[in-house]
Amino acid sequence: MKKKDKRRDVAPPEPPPSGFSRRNFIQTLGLAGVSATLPLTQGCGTSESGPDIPAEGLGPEPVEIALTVNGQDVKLKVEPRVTLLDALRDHLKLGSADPVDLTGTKRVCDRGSCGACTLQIDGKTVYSCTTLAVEAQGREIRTVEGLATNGKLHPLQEEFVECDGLMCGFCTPGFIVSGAACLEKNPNATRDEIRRALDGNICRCGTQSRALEACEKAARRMKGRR
Amino acid sequence: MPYQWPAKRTVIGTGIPRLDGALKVTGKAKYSFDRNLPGLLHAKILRCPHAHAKITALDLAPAEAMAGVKAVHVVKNVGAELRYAGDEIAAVAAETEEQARDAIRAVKVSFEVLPFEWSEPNAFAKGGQSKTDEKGNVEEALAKADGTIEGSYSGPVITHVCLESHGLVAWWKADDELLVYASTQAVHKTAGDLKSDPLFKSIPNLKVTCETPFMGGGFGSKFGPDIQGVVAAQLARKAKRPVKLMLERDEEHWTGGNRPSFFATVKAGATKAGKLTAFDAVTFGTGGHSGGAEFPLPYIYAPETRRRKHTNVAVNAGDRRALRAPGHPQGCLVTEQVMDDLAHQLGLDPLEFRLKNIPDEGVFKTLKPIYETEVKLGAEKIQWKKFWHPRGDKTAGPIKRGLGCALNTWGGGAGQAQATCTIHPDGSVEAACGSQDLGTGTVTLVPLVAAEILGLQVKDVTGKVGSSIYPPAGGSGGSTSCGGVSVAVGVAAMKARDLLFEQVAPKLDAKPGDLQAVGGKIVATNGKSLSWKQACAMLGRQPITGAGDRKEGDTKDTEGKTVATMSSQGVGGAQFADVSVDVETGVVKVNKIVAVADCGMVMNRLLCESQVYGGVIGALNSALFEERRLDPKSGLMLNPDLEWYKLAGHSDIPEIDVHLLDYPERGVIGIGEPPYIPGAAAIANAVANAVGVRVAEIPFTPRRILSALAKK
Repeated sequence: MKKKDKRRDVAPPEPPPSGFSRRNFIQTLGLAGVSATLPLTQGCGTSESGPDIPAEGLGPEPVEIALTVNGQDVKLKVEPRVTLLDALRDHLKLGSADPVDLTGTKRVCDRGSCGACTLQIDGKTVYSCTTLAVEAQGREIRTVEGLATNGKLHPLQEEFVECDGLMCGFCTPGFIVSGAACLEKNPNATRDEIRRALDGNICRCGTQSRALEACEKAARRMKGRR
Repeated sequence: MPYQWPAKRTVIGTGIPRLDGALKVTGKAKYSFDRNLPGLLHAKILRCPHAHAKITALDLAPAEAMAGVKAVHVVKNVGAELRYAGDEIAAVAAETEEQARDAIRAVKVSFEVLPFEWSEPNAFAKGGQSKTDEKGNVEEALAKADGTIEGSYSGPVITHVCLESHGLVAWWKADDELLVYASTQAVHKTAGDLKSDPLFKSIPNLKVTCETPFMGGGFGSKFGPDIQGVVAAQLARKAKRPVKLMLERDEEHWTGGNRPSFFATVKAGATKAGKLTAFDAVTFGTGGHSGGAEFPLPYIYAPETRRRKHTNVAVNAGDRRALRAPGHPQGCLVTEQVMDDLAHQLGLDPLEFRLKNIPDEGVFKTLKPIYETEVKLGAEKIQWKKFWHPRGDKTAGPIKRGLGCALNTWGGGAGQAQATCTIHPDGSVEAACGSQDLGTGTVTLVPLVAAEILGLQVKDVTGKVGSSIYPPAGGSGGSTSCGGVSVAVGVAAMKARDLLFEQVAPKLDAKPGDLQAVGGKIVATNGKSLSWKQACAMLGRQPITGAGDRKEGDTKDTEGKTVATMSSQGVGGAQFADVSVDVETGVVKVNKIVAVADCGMVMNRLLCESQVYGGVIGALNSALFEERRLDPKSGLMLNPDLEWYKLAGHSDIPEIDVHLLDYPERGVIGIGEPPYIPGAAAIANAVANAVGVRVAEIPFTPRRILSALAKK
């Protein structure tokens, strides 16, 4: 029996006196309100094993958070309203003073409709532009930078290059993360299943035909490996 | 001897995966959007929230006082007229993006809201500047024709939707040295425009460099720094820190450019024998608050008697920019639907009717046999004989299937470009050209060309592209980059090779003219040879460099006229669509597209085909999904996003069958625009063929299909 989530019993604080906006709303309300009011959110804010959020909510000041990104633990300080996407792209400094930043995950629509920001949280694909960074604490975050192992590209990455499943490349990380999640779950995925897995990713250059070809070729290789 | 491509080619025409592919698929490629410099500030722009207004008061002090704000800049001050929702007013730079957004909201601004126009037909009804082109007596020709049609054809404004938005990161490395990482189709022009901007041109000895190793799509909309680029540079100068200013998605739709709408009413006539004899068109469209909406009409076909009255109308919305083959898709959509309607009216074979009316003059003399080849091949691949039927699928059930075809043409001549090719004593080779890679493959093209000339493999050459520090090249637009870059790099590599030949010839007991660079060797006609490395080692300590200009690929003919020998222009293409339409729901499903493309000498088959796939998918988007919607009540764009501004998902993509016609004797011709042109018209004709009525307006949403069927 899991313990009851206290967050749900919390009444939201008074709305800001003026200048009401969605971002101010998120900024001051903290997490308790977010998952109920943003149906597009695919994150894990409502999950019972999520981070421990104080009853009065977080912020608006920056808070210390800890994330596990591609197997590495990182600490960063962000305002609670900062999305996981922006935290990874702009606020993360892995390790030393050298600003190693994870900008492979792209921001395109910033509202959960194009898939460019797709990453995996605990193996599930998530739009990181509609997931708050504070929500992702205690989860395994896997970005496009985490797909290659020991410098060897993921079979899907190799096939994207070989089949030319990319042009400008800005949608490509999202396609690859979505495709990899689909194939890792089911290397026997049919053409239509792969299509559906990629339906949430928009490409403007028109790489879809060859991205599909790359996924099918990678699937054959991944099956062979097992 | 004019410079020429080698008769036997081993690298050109093969399929080389893009060399920056691994960086792109691993997320390591750093786009402008990804540049996080130490001390970076984030900037946002305050934009006009009304379709038409005047600024009556503006106070940036509250924004300046906000936490994290480091600089502010006024773009338009009190009294300025703002002509569309999204027009720039002011900008701020702050420590974080969130703080910059907060600060923009804190700016105190008030407006006098002015009347606005949102609708092209309304604006047209009020009049406007129009222009009439006329040849012969159209009324007479229409009266004499064996058959005539009258139809209306239209399509809305669509936006570019570059996935990486417009913008740049500006960094003043010194008081007189500006470095920008810009998402641009023109690194040299972007650097040049910043240097000559009124805000900066008085800075003595100003040096501006534009770096664009990767960029996330342009499609014709990114040829300079734009207002936001200048603003970012100015904020960076004020704050003495690097500033990132990339547009957000809604700003991108408002201000990042768009393709003009088109509205056409056409009367046309032809003879029973299939000769197009009359074409009478009244057209209008909008390119925004000040942009025009011209497009070629009639397209390809040139009936002896024709009249066209065109009016550019203004609406209070963002201005147009070139979008992949500017004007051509609109001209193609109108003309090719007219041709189809006429063929139907007169009971003519729509393919023969088209071929019969290809003009016999100018570029079409060359293209006529190419069109014939393309139509024959395309018809075979789409199974025209098996599946085409007279208009209206008569089979039972709600799913109606139809086929359609359309032709296109485009120039694609070589654009201005210079390049260098350097051979080092250790055998390494660098080829540099200040062009840029929009996803089109320039990064791969540059070493590919040098490798061909030097008898090496692509991996043996380091290509340098995407920076204004490299030899100047024009913007990547109009399908001019492939030709310009290929020729400039080709000539540079030939010159470097010839310098190498001079140095190694004595060693091979041969004359430089008796040497060849093939298969990683320098081979003399006397049979003696050196490996590439051995030959380069003879350079001693000095590398050798050849410099090439695209113009050197031209020569003079006997009449003294300049003719291109290594590149060319003028292509023809044909596309065929197979669609199914559910006449109960109005949903159109494209089953298959066959694209036959002519692009002269194919440089990199794999990447060239990708351009064609991309063109086909882009055209499908415009035929089925894309539409900028303005609110009649407010004039605001209703869908400045990616959920209501629709683009195809993976499940919407049909089988696409790409065929490249390789004509190496014609030299290099660009392929970016041509395959984007005819797809929408082919789909439109397939829809009419399926459902039996002309659906006059793209995109073919269920509402439009059902409305057209209701009028049947």
